[in-house]
This record gives sequence, C-alpha cells and structure tokens, in this order.
Amino acid sequence: MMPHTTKTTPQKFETVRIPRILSMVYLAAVLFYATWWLDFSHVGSWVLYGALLIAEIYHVWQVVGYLYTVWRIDDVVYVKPKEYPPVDIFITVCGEPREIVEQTVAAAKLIDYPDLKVHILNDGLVAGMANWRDIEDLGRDHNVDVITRTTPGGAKAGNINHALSVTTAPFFALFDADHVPHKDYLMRTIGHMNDPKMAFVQTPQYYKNRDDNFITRGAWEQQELFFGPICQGKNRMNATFWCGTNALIRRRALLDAGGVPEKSIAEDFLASLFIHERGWKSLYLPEILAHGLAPIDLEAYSAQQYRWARGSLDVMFKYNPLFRKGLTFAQKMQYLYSAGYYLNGLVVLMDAFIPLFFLFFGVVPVDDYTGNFVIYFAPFIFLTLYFLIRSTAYTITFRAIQLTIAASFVFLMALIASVTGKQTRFKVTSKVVHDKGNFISYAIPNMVYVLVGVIGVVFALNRDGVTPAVITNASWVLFNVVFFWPFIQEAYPWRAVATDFVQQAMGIFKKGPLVSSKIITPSE
Amino acid sequence: MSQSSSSSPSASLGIIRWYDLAISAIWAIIGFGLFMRVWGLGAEGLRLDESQSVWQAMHSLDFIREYMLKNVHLPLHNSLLHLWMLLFGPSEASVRTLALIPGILSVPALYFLAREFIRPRWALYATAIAALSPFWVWYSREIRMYSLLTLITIFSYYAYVKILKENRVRWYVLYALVNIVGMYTHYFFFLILLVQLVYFFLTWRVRFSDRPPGEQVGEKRTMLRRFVLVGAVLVAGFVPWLYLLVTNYGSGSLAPILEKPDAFNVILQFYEFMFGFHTDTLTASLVGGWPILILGSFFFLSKRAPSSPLILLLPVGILLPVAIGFIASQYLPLFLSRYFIIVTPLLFIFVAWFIGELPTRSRIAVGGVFLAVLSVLLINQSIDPRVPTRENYREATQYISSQVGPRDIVVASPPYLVYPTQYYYHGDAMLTTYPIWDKRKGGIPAITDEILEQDLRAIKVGHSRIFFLVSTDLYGSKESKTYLDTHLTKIAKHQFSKNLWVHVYQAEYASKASPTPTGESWAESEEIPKGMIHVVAPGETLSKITFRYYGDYLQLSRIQKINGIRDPKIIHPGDILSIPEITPQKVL
Repeated sequence: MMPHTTKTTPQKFETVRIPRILSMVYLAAVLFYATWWLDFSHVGSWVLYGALLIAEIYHVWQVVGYLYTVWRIDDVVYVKPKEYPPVDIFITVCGEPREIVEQTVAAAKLIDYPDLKVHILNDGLVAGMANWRDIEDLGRDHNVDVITRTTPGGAKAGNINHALSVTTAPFFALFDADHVPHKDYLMRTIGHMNDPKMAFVQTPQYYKNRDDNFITRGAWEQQELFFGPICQGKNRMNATFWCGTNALIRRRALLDAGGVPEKSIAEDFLASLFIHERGWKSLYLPEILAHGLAPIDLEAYSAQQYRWARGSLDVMFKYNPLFRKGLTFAQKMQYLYSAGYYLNGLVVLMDAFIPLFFLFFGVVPVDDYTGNFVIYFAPFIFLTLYFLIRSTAYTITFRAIQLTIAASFVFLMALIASVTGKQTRFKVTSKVVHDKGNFISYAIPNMVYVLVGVIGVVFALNRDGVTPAVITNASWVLFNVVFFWPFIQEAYPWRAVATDFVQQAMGIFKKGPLVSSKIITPSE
Repeated sequence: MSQSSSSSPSASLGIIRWYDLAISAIWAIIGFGLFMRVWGLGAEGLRLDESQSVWQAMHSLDFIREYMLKNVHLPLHNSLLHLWMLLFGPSEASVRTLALIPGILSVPALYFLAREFIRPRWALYATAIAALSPFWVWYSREIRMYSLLTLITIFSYYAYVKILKENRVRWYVLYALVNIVGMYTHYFFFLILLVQLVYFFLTWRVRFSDRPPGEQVGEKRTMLRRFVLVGAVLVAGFVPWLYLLVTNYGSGSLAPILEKPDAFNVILQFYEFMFGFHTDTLTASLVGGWPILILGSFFFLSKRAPSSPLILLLPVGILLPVAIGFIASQYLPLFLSRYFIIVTPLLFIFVAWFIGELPTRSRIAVGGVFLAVLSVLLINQSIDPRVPTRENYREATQYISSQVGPRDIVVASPPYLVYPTQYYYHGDAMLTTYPIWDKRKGGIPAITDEILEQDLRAIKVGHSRIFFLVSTDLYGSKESKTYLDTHLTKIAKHQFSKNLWVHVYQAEYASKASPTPTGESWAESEEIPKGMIHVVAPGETLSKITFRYYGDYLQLSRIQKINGIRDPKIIHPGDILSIPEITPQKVL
C-alpha cells in the first residue's frame, strides 16, 4: 500500500473531511450519553459509581478532544523552497547494530539537497554500549562525521544538545538510527521553512516491517491513527509536536526554547511545548519521507509504550500545559489531550474491575435497568466506532485498539512511577528480532485478570444462578478479556507449543515406538 | 452460485468444499425455517388478535369498512380474509394459511432485496436469518396483517432501490402499485414512504446508477419529477379512505389502550425482532448479554473499502421509524413491536452485511454462531408453552363450555376477550364482558368503580356462578379482577397460559334468583341466547339499539322476541336486554 520508493509525489496520509453533520450528531450523542451519568438517581454503590463516573468523564473528555482535533482538517500544500540553506543531518545512535545504522547513513547521504552534511550522533560510549567503536568505523567507511560524546548526561537530549554545540547549520534534520530517510526528504520539507517563524516540520513515522507479526501490525495501525487524523488535526491549531525522529528543525527556534530539555524522557514533546510557548510555529507534513522499524515483540512494544507514557505523564504533572503562559487555548488543550492520553490505562482498569466487584461481592455501581442505560450508551459507542472509521479513512483496526487496551497495565506502571517520581532507565526500542521469545512477565497482570474473571463468573453463577445481572457482568468480563488478550497471546509462542504437542500426540497413533525419539533424547 | 469449476487445482479444493458445505447448510437452514412456519399451523387456538380478525372478517365487506373507520387499522387485510373464509372456511388452519402465504413469500423476496445491497452469498445469509427469524415465523402463523405488511414492505424497498439504480418506468409502476396495497394494509406503512423520502434527499448528490456520467446529469431531477407523479397517484389512491375517515366517525375510538413506552421497550423491541418471543427469564438473559453486542461491533474495525451509500438506507430505514414511533408514543401510545415489523427486512440485511464485513475468521465464527442461536430460539419459541404471547383461549373456553350450566354466566375481561371466547364457546350459559361492552359501538368503557359496580349488579342477577375469563396482562383486567375478588366468593381458579386464567365466583344462589325488570321473559325463554347483554340508557330506543348492534333495523324483531318485549316502543332505562350473537353461518 505504501511502498517506500522515492517517487515524485510521496505516499501520504489521506486528508479526511468529515461531514459537519456527522460531527454534530456525534457530539450530540456524546453529550446525551454524559447526561445519564450526571443523573445521580442511578447511584447504586457510591464508591463504585464514583469510580465509573471518573472513568466516564475521562472517556467523554477524550472523545470530545478527538472530535475537536479532527473537526476540520486542512490540506498541506507543497511549498517551493525560496533558498537552500545549509542543513545538518543528525542520526542518533545508542548501541544499535551497525547494519541498521548503516542503512540510515547510506540513505542520508543520498538525500537530494545542495548543501548537506551528515553527522552520526554516537552515544554508545557514554551509555556503555559495547559497539560504539563499530559506529566510528562506520562513519569512517562512509566518510561521514561521527560525533561521539565523552561527557555523559541527558540521554538522547544531551546527545543532541552536544551535537548542536559542535555544528553550525541553521537547520538540522533528525533521524533515529532505524529511520531511513527518503531521497526527497529535504526538498519536500525545506520550503515550509520559507516562513521565518516556522520552528520545525514533522513528518510521519512509517514502519516498513509492519507486516512482520501481530505486534508490528498493531503498532503501525496505532501510528496510522496518530499520524493520520490526529496530527493533521493538530496542524489547524499550530499544535503539532516534535515526535523524536523524522523532523526538520530550525536551530534558532530550539535554542530560543533552551535547547532539548535533558530532564525529561519526553524531551521532544517538552521541547515542542517550550518552542510553542515562545510563539514559534510548527507543521505536520503528512507525507511519508522516511521508513523505520516497529517494535518487534512484546518486550520492545511494552518498553516503547512505557517510555511514551512515562514521558507524557511527567510533562502533565510537572509542566502542566494548562498553566503554561504563551500557549493559545487550543494549544493548551492539544498538549493536555496528548499528555493525558496515557491516563487511559488507569481508566480502563477501573472499568475492568467494576464487574468483578459484582461477581464476587454482589455490589453494583449503578441502580438502573439495563434498557435505559443502553439507550444512552448505544448511540455513543456505535457512533464513536463509526466516527473512528470515517476519520481514519477506513484504516482503523480492532487490533490497534486491542493492543492499546491490553497495554493498560504498562500505562498504569508508568503512572505510578510518574506520581512517585521513581527513576526509570531509558530503554531503546528493540531492533533485534527475538523470535519466539518468552515475555510472560509482561503479560502476568493480564493473565491474572483472566483467571480472576473466570473464578468470579463461576462464583457468581454458584451464588445467584443464571440471572441477567450475572450475564451482563460476565459479558463485561469477557469483553475485557478479549481486549487484554493480545499481551497473553504474544507473551509466549503458544502456537508452536500447541503444534508441537499435537504432533507428539499424533505420534502415538503412528507406527513405530510409542514414545517418539524426540522425547527420549530431548537434547536433540 | 454453489457451483465450482471442475478444473480447479486440487490445492483450492478444500476451500471450495467448505464453501459448498456452507451454502448447503444455509439452504438446509432456510428449509428448516420454512418448515417451522407450516408445522402444526392449526394446532393452536386462535389468539386474541386473530379472533378479532376472524370476527371482523365474518361480517360483510361494508361492515368491515365501517368498523375499520373506527379502528386503528385499515380494511384491506380483513376484506381479503372475508373472501378467503368464503372459500376455505373459518378453521384455524384455514385462516392462518392466508398469513402463511405472504410469510413464506417474504423469504425469497428478502433474498432479492438483499442482493441489491450486498453480495449474493451474503444475501443468501440474510435470507437464512429471515427464514429462521422467530419473529417472522410467529407472524407467518398469525392471521393478522403483519406478514402481508412485511412482504409489501420488501416489495416497496425493492422497487425503490431499483428506481434509484435504474430509473426505469417499470419500477415506478411497481412502486406505485405495491405502495397502494401497503397504504391500505397498515398505517405504519407510511413510515416506509417517509424513510424513502428522507433517504432520497439525504443522498441527493449520490449517483447510484452505473451509466456513463453524461447520462446522469439531471437524473435526480428526473427522478424527483417521477416520484412526485407517483406521489400524486398514491394520494389519489388514498383519498377515498381519508374522505371516509373525515366524514365518518374519525378513527381511533376502537384503539387499543396501550402503555406509554419507555426506553426499555425500544431495546426489547429489537430483541424481539431478532430473537422472537420467549419467557421473561430467557428474554432478560438475552438482554443481559448486551455487552457482547458492543464487543461484536468492535470486531467491525478493520481495513476496509468505504461502504456503498446504499448501505446508509439500512440504518435510516431501521432507526427512523422506531424513533418516530417512540416519540409519537409519548403523546399517543402506539408502540407495539409488531407494528414495527416494517423495519425487520432492512434489519436482517443489515445484520448480514455487518457479519459479511467482519474479518474472515470472525465472520465465519460469528455468522455460524448467530444462525445456531437463532435456530435454538426458534425451536424454543415454537414449543415452549410458557411463552407469554402464546394465548390458550381455545382450551380455556372449552373448559368453560364443559362446566357451565344454563344458570351460570360467562364473563370475559378485558371486554375484547369476547372475540376469542365466542369463536370457541358453545356452552349453555350466556356470554358477556366485564365491564359490559358493545363491541360494535366503540371503544371499551372506561373502568371506574361506578361502572364496575353497576355492571356487576347486571351480571350477577339471576345467575348462580360467574365464569370469569381474564387475561391478566391486558389493560383494565387487574381492576376488574380485584373488584370481583373483593365483592364475590371465589370457588375455583384455573390457569391456561402465562396470563390467561378462569376464575369461578359464586354469584347468587339459584334458589334466591330474583326476576329482572324485563326478567321473566328472557329468563324463561327456552333458548338462552349466546350473546351480549345491554343495559338500556336514557333516550335509547329499541331500533337505535338494534341498529347499533346489527347495522340494520330488520333484526329488531330478534331482540324483541328473545327478550319477550310485547311493545317495541316501550323500554325503560336500566332494562337489561339480551342481544343474540350473529353466528358466522348467518353472515356468510
């Protein structure tokens, strides 16, 4: 669908214009749903109702925010460059294997631009990575500049700040080691820098390995939602933020904002906030101008999600956008929406635990008969799904949402760490294929939920028999189990084990010894 | 469709076999659904609504027309039934066959309609849903207008979609014809026309035809002109009835008294559309599983091509009538799931479309499970005697017939239970209703303590036992029963179906029987008439009463004779007259 060949017109995300009438109807459905929760005659248990109420306020806030973001999406038109100022290409490396960095370096050298210098920002030495010398060799082999830091501090942010101190070009384009720029990267983006107030131009992240497995597909489909309607919508409010890689940045704007903040692991997000505070502009260009790698397994995915969640939540708690001077209202809202997204984990888990309270203790949060609630809920949920489908140009998948919900415990851990101020080691997204690994430790909370849910259903059936309330709550447990399932599914190569088992079992019926030789000599 | 080319490489043979197997299974399911429509068609007694149809259809076509002017329904169906009964008689199996025919025809008709929306294999799946639909099966076996209404609805949408796609004159002709039939079948048919109107303008900019763009210019305007013409024909076709409605009594005095619906009725209605009628426990459990439906809708999210704008007709056609009905019912309650059977054809197509749009694996699993659930529920609906819509008037009335003697009286409550009762009743005691109601005259009397007291006095007089046939879920039955319970001694009670009871009360002891004002004559007459009793109101004359009950004055002598009235000009307010029932044979 989106080959990364260099063509005259790059692949781009579709600009979806949602009929205003649909947005209005959807908004009406959301508000209608909200009114049910504000009618406190439905309260069963105040504690559980309170928890659900908070969760639902959060959901409503999120969908209203989404609606607000995609309310209108404008086309970004190509701007012909007036001049071709010097540009540095920064490739940040921190222990990635040489082969991966090499592709990026080779591609960067091929970028079609008159005044270009490629630098490898090698952080391997200060991060204690074994292969830091390989990267220096690579630079020599490809005849590009390698900036190897010797003074540690500030992780990726420190690495970039250090590079800025030893380079001079007025613009730099930043790529992670595994994000390979296309030849036309600069020619498509530099024109937007004609505007002297333009601080950075962000382009989407594209995962060329998206079809490798369930995780890479799900991760890519989440990116499609983010780099599709969400980022395009943010453009309207000048609220696009720098997303770590694939961005062209004006040096003066970044330095004006104090450089890359080194105290946060969401250095890109926070830097954007500071840049916007000082009145600079930003742009999201929805054209695919580089291709990278998706997290390949459950461990890498969990690490990536944890990092994003921790960084965003830190920003929300320490630099709450609502109280930042210099931002417009729309920018404040957009920053708050993006940072607050990771509270999702807590909210999902609150929702997920409510039915368990009924199953074990017979406590119900709400005291209303099903039909009435469904009248409010059904338009809300069905229109939410339809609106998602429409706004993503029919690309959103169940898998993407499932994978997000399944990661709720990861988000919860990030939230706890953020609130308690616990230090977290920066972890690089895995680029190495661990095929058939054992990641059960990441899925333990999800497995516990399944187990507790099943026990709860059996317990409630034993206590009440088949009543509508038991059926409804059991259905909710099933609902949550389905959403939590991907982490369990990806935690272990179950299928290979099952296939193996079946083969073993079938072996019993085949001719030859009753016990297969494989079992006798497991060392083989 | 199930044919596979014989030259297929062997590698794909497995898939083709699976596909053929699935298609065969769907055909078997359709066959099963049709069988369940026919099976034991006459075995159950007529239900309340059915007996009303039969009672009305036993009269002349003129009477049917006059009666329907006061009713909430239209005359077409009962007129057809009238003619049908002339040919085939009034037995249960005979009259229900008239409902069965459109009920069976709706299944293939739905296939052709579904094919206009979705691919043939999913149209076949929609047909399987329709064939198995417990709701459709129920109304294919009930002699009311609902199966006919369903068939006409399908035809109407078919012609409408064909018009949108092809814009040919023949479809306009078909459209006009079926809509005229529809308009005379049920008032809710007008909601179909409204849906079609709304959808036409919603998709004003959409071109449905696949003709070259050059020919499409102005196509919608041509369509609009033609639709206006068809509209004029429809209006002309309906004006005669409107004229009668306006010049006669005005509709609605015989309207059933319904409760104002709340949100739960809407939910329940969709469950009935999909799953049919079951015991309250089972229905509540089915409704309780609603989060599964929400979960199912998430599976819909996948990479897909945008849906055809024609699909939009499905949600509009499903939701708009229900929404209008619900809102209107807050002022004038008319919210009954069977009235909205007009949304079911599109609902079944929508479900088939939805399942067909799921990712491959979920599609097979969800599609298979859904048909299996429908099959089980259809069987349950067909055999479970506790299903609340199953009304066993036949046995109840036969029981009464075998128990009563000439000095007893049979009382049906609420009053319209008189329809099924009189269909089966052949006992020696007189039959009346409580409160006393003259079914030709108008609506059921209001239930007040005064009326209950006055009518009980009239009923009690001269009778030893009251056989009280009551359907406890109907409006007014509770008040009547409570009144009897507190004022009389109960001798026995007996249940016949979920809500149908016979209570036996002691009225007056036979020895104490006192003559009624006009008494001796009718109490002593040899033949105790099986009919209504009437309390003469001030200002009433015997001829007025006669006309009201029979629609002609010639029957005056019957009332005079049976009540032993010497001078027809002399009757007094408060006199109790016995009004003999006209037996079907005499009308036909």
